Parts: sequence; structure tokens; C-alpha cells
Amino acid sequence: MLNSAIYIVGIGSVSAQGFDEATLLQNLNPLQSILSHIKEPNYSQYIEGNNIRRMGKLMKASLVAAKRCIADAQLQPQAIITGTGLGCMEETVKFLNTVIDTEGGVLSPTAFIHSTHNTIGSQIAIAVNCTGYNSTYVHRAFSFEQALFDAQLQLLTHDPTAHHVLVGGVDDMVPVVFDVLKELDFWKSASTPILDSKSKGSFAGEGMNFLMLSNQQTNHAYAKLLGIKMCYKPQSTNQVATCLTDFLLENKISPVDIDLVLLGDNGDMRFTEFYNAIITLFPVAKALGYYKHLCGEYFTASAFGVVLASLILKNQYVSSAISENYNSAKPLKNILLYNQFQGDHHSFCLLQHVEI
Amino acid sequence: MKKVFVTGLGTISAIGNNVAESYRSLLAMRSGISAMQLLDSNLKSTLPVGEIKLTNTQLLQLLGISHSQRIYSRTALLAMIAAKEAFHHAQLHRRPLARTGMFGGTSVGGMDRGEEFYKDYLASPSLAKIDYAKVHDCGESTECVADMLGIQDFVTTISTACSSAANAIMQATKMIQLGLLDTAIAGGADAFSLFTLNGFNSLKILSDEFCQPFDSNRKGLNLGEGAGFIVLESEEIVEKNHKTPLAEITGYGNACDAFHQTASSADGQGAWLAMNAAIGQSGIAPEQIGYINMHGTATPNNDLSEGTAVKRIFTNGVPAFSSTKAYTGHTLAASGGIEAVFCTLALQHGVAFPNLNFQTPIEELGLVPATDVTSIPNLKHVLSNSFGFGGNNTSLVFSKC
Repeated sequence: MLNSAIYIVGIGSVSAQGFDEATLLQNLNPLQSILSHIKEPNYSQYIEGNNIRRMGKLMKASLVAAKRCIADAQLQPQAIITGTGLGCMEETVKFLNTVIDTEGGVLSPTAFIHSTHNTIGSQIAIAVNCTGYNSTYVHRAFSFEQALFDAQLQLLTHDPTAHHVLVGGVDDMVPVVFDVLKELDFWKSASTPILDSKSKGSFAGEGMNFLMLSNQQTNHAYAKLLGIKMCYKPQSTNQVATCLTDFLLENKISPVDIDLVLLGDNGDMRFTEFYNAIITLFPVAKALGYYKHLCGEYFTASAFGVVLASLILKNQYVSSAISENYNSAKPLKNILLYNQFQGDHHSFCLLQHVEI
Repeated sequence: MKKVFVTGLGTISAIGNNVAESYRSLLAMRSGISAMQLLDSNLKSTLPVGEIKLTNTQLLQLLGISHSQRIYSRTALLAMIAAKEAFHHAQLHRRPLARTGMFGGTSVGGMDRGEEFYKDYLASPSLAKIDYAKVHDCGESTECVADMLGIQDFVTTISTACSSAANAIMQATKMIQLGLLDTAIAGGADAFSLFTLNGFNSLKILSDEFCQPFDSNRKGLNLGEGAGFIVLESEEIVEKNHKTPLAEITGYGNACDAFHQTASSADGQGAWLAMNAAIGQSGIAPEQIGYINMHGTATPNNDLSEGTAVKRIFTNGVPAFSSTKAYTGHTLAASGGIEAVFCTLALQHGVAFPNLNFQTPIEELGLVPATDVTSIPNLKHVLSNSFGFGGNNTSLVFSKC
């Protein structure tokens, strides 16, 4: 049913790796710390002065990533769909502080105005004057996936005026969220390497990653988006494997057609069994890649994975920082991404190389 | 594309704990706006609100949960009550679920628990209740409902401020139309929190009197809390199970005003685009809309902007219209869900619900809403508007089937 082609025709990424998409693949450095923040761009190139003072980091960096994506695509979006696990926590906390101090008093509304989850999508719409479809998904580690899924529906079926849709996954890591997740055993206790780790917990990160999707191929398209699928609270690893098998069938792709499996493994030994269940579905020599050691763990980290996969397909280059066992002699056609969060939220995404 | 039918309704708000109570209040013109009793705010004596006068323990009892180790946010409890009612109304508990999705809308999710956690965390991080922090995010209330009802196929949460529930219903409708799901529970929930109350107070758009939507002397909105969910099913499922649907969703439109973070444009361009798309998709002429359930928050800005956009759409005369927010208060992300329930009731009974507290038309508009329960013979199509901060505007068309 959803069988027309959708292309990724632009990317914009702000992450712990920086904000230069053109050299991103060549300059990947594994994170060293238990908490890694984004490398912040010079906002004044993208945002006017008043707003630089008024907006929080998540909003500003999201605007930069969105604008870079639009410039990269050389296309104006006709719809904007945002995914964020926690939204504008910096402003939420800022406003909560004033509420706790002077509840019922006369408070400045600025932080409150910028605290709502849809602020990001709507500020981008204002910045690029887009009156088209606009929505914000806020469902934990499905937030970006559902934004991407909605964009797919929008392009394939519904809106005859929407040919280009801007989709983003954005989250930052404010101190209280880091502390809460630490208390909940999300993070490792010491700075050990994320991969090959036999310990529980992961490393915290943040990022703002945007894609421009189009139902028209451009001469600098990165990849074709074949599909996306989610699996909510599976009973077993088998159920996740079945979900993947169904997903590949729906897309008429056989496991042998997958050239690289890009995994959202975050080094938390408590969830390794899920990744192992997926890996066993593929031939022994299958190339495996990883990305969480480059961006850290957060609710929309999978968006960084999709950006990397897009760059890999376009450049036909897999950095050794992503995959150690990739056989470079073989052309890369299909990449499968798999991510899971705390065993509850599992997602698959299939990207395909585009002949320009 | 497949037809999508409404087959179940559920709601809880200041005017009733369920659909029957709410409908009785609507007909009796009984507002739920009153003085704050449960929310412990310094604004208690100055700001009337649409508060549900049940403690969280009483809400748990309403759900039949007596001993729970799990911490629920108030938003989750409201969502569970309304969604469960809709689920049972549609008789979904009587047969194995078809491919079913859960679509929740919320603006602050478990903020009531989050802010309590944060206050303790500031005083002493080690003493703060971590279980409260766990239920702060928006996805939690949706998952509470999905897990209670055994929904696994698609679980999502949308947060577009006051249009969240309408967008949840729109997205559910899209997926059923495309054959990606057979059944969906869609709507929204928002409970009071000090964060929200103080936030709206800081914007200076709360009225210290009963709100007066579309009145020339309107002073602002009354906040409300609540939840509204509807069950949507594909035509195949409805036929297969020999069900009589309550209404059909024939159109939806979503557009962004792209004007200002908290204000609507003067000509209501985003509202116009959303209504125009929704009516256009339903394949009817604007004249065929018999009743509009307006967003009508009673802020000076919204009502003027929305009224202007409505006049631009209905050039041959504006049909019967009203805002039901003088009953429930503005329930934010829940409003589109609660009003979807009201619109379905309006279609079923052929009535327009009154716009309480209206006295004087807005001079620039000259529009007079329904001020009494108004019988509309042959009511075929109802338009529901939900407009959010950030210019996230969504309109839905409910049609008689």
C-alpha cells in the first residue's frame, strides 16, 4: 500500500560530533565521557539576536539543524513533523523554579511559552514561514520513529500539496533528567567503553537531527526510505525477531540483501539479548555497525543513526568508527537500522541506495 | 480510502465522570466551573476552574483499582477512565482485538507528579520520590491506557498543545483509512498542575470570572482538566460485527498559523486553512455544516481570530455554533477529545449545545452563538475546531451515518 518512493534529500545534524554534515563520516570520534553534550554552533549565523537570548539550547540547536537541513536540500518544506522524548526541559525546569519560588505570583511567561513540546516545530514553521501540516510526537523512544512514519503517510497518501516534509528528532540532556535516569540505573557507573562492555547502563547524550523527505528524487538525494516499523513492549526476543521478519517481507527485502545492520546497541548488557536475536537472523559475515558510542543515549538517538546511514549510502563509505567488519569491496545497497530502548520500544528502519 | 466510524465514546471532566453525566449537564446548561478545591495553589480564591472534584484515590476507585503499587499521574488516571468507558461503549472487551492502535494527546503529561518530584529534588535529591519522576513524561499516560486495555499494535502520543487530542484523532483516522489499523482509541487527557495554572496565569489570559466565549466583554479563559477518547473502527470491522456506528469522521485538516508562539494571526489564516482542508476532504459544501463546536477559549485573541476565520469560510452565513468551554473550562490537550464526544452526541441527538455566559456579540464579528439547547433537524455534519499555541490548528468533520 505504501509503495511509492520516498527520498531523503537533505540532512541537518547537531550532535556531540559537531554540526558539519559534509565531514561527519570522516571525523567520528567515540565519546569518552558518561555524559556528552552537543558541540554548539555559532547561533548568530542562524538566529536573530533577541531569540538567541530568549531561546534555550534545545530550541536554538534544533533551529540550526532544521535550517541546515533545508539549505542542504535546497527545498522549502511543506510540512514539519517533530519528535522529542522530553521536549524543552530547560525551559520547563526554569519555569518550575519560578513556580516553586513564587507560586501564584506575577511570573515572567517567557520560559513557559518556550516549554511546550510543540514549540520547536512551531518556531521552525515561523522561521521558514511554513503554514502546512505541523505535528509533534512525544512518545518516549518512538518519538522520532513516529514523526518519520507520519511523514511517510503524509507524502505517500494524503496531502497532494506536500512534496517535501521536514522531519526531526530532538532532545537535550539537562542535569535533572541525567540525575533521574542515573537513579533509575540508565547510566554506567564508571567511564568504561560503551561497546564490548559487560556492564549495565549506558552513556548519556543529546542531539538534534533533521531529514528532508521528498516524494521526488533530487540530484543530491542521500537514500530512499523504504519503511519504518515499531514493536511495543514485546513479550520476548522472539517477538522482536518476528517483527523484523515481517518488516523485511513487507518491503520485499531478504536478509541477504542487507549490506549493513546499524544497531542502536548502547552497551547496556541487560538488553544485549535483543541485538543478538536480530544479528542471528543475518548471515554470519554480515557487516554490523554501531552509532550510540558516537552520539550517546537519549530518546531520539535513532535519528542520528538515520543521518549516519543516509551519509553512508550516499558516500558509499563506512567509517571504521561505525563498523569494524565492513567489507569495503562490496557496494552498499541496503541498510537496516534497529534500535531498542529499555526493552520496551523497538524500531526498525530500512534505507536504500539511490542511483543518481 | 476506507471509511472510519466512531463506535465508542468516553469522557470525564468538570461536568461529569462519564458520557451520560456530561450529556445531562450539557442539556441542563450546568457549568462545571467552580472554585478550586483540590489543587493547592495560591490562586485558589481568585481563579475559577473546571476541576474534577475527585481525589486521585477516588479516581482509582472509579477505575476499580483498589491496591496499586504503581504510581499514576492524574493525567493517566483521567485518560484511563475516559478510554475505558469508550472501549466498553464500543464493546471492544467482548471480542479479541483486531489490529488496534492507541493515540493519546497531552500537553503536560504527568506534570502533577513531576513538579512534586522536582520540588523535593531541589530540597534534597536523595529524598525525592523517583517513582514520581518516572511518570512525568507525555508517553506515560498513553502507555497506562494501552497496557490496561492490552493494545500493542501501535502506541503513540502527540503533543501540539491544545490541538493534541484532535491530532491524535486525525492520525488514528488516517491509519484506519489506509488499512494500517482496524481499530483505534484516540483522544487526549490533561490534569491540573501548578505548572500549567501558573503558566497560563503568567500569560495573563485567565479570567477571574466565568469565561464568556465569543462575548464582547470576554476576559479570558477558565482552565479545565479532563479526558476525552473515542473509538474509531474501519467499515469492514463495523460491518463484520453488525455494529451501528455513532458517526463517521469524514474530514480533517491540520495547518500551522506560523505567526506567533502564543497568539493567533488577525485573519486566522491557520484556522482557515485547517477548516478549509477538513470541509474539503469531507466532500461537502460549507453550507452543509449544521453546527460548529468552536475552539472558543474566551481569550480576546482566539475568539476574534477564530470568528474571523469562520466568517471567511462560511461566506453564505455562519451555521449554529458554540464553544462548550464555559461548561468544562479549557481542558487543553484533552479539549479536542472531549469535544469529539460532544460533537458525536450533537449528531446523534440533532442538537447544538449552548455557549453559556454569552451576552453581547463581538463588535467586529457580529456573531451570535447558540445560547440555548438548540434543536437542529436533519443535522448531518458537525465541525470541531481545536487550535493550539504555536499555531497548531486542527479541524475535524463528524458526519451522521
